Amino acid sequence: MQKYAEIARAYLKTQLAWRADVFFNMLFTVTRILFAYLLWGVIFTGKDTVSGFTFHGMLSYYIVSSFLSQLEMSERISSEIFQRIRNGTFSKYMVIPVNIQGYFMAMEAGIVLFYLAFDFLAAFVWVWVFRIEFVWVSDVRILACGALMAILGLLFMVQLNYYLGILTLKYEGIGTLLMIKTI
Amino acid sequence: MKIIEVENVSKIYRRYKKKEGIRGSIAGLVKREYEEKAAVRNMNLEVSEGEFLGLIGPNGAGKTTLIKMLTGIIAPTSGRLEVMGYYPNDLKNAFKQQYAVVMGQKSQLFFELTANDTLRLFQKIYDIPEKEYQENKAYFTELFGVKELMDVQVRTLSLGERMKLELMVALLHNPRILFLDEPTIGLDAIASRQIRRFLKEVNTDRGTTILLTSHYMEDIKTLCSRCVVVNHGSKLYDGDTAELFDCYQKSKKLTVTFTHPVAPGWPGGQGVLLEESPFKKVLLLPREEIGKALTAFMQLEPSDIIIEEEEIGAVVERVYQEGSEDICRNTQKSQERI
Repeated sequence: MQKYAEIARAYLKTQLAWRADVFFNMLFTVTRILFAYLLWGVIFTGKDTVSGFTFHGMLSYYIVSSFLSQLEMSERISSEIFQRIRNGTFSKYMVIPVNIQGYFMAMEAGIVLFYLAFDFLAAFVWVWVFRIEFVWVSDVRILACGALMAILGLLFMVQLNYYLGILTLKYEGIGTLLMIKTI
Repeated sequence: MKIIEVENVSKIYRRYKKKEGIRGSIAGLVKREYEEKAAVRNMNLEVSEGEFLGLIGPNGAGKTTLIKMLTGIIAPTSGRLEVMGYYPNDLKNAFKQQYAVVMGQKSQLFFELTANDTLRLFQKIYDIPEKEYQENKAYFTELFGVKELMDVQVRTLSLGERMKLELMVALLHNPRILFLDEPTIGLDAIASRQIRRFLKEVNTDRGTTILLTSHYMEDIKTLCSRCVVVNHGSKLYDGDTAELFDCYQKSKKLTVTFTHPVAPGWPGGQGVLLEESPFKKVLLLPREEIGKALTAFMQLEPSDIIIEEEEIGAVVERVYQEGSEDICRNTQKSQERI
């Protein structure tokens, strides 16, 4: 397990290497929040609810859904494998004593951690600066099921993208398969 | 002890032959013509632990394919292959733990990170204890002289510096075998010389078995006591490196300079005149004629005489074109009879 944790750490460090990227990620996180707040504020002007959602409920949904969609970056796995096989450098993963699938999952985890940091920053800004009353479901079982579904969904996407990437060894081109997956 | 055993190994690739032009591209969608390319044919090879073996051959000879089979990246089409008692293509972690491979395009370094970051990662990947890690890191940092490079981003380093760090990463876990696929390609003369020195030291001090492929004969001559010549997927020669070059180095270059003008032509008349002026003659002579030519030139009272080995490219070309164990063996037998 230690080796995979170190792989994740290494890829997290690669994300932190580019200061401009870090800065602009922070900037866009804040500006996204601001635009969402303003836009939804306009929609909810003079109304308590829209289609059953309150203003805070809508913003809570927005935070959670954008949070989860940010976490789903497994497409990078299939494209990385695809590129590496195509340009003949995939073997660099084959000659080291790690499980290749584990390596890519750890890589994904490291990169996701980077964006997770910004999502937590966004959550902080939402809650403390804009005074959003975060709407929770009160039933712990529903929360737990939701979290489990999210984790399983992420794991499934990682697996799917890994195996699609590996298919490059057989078919040399997986663009169609990736397109079907996206649909 | 034999660390590598290759018995009648072949690797056949199937490759798509496309006709020229758009018509050929469209026809390729419907019907494709394939040809078989034998990258390696019935190769037999044994390597003992601690050897430094050179693999030479022209482009497309099958050297890299052989390395890929030995490291498990690809499987042979037929034959038996055993490295440290493992079948490489099983890609068992216990097997991968014991070797390292450095191939030009497949860098293990993270370009955005420092060498220290990559080394730390490989410490964890190879489960190297902290004490051993620090000792090896210190040893190789001093050997390669890269102390100032350890904390800068790899992408800012030159090719030679990166190659040193690649070797460091590869050797960190004390592999039993090191596979090197053209490690000095693109490096300048100084960097190449340094890499050769490091590899020699690693092989001598640590007993690491090294398999080196290179187009630079200087690498092979300096480092490898034994070399294998490969062409068209087959082994042409497997034996002593010095004997190989002795067999194929047929000429020497003789440069004679004078303080007084001398008549055109040269005594003896053998060989090829490369350059001539009243004060200088440069000749390419068969090795066996050098003695006679020297004796003849001494009578003209030269001011300086230089004897050089034949240009190595010409020797290599001859090895690839004529190469055969029989040729070298027959040449040696003839010399013994004389």
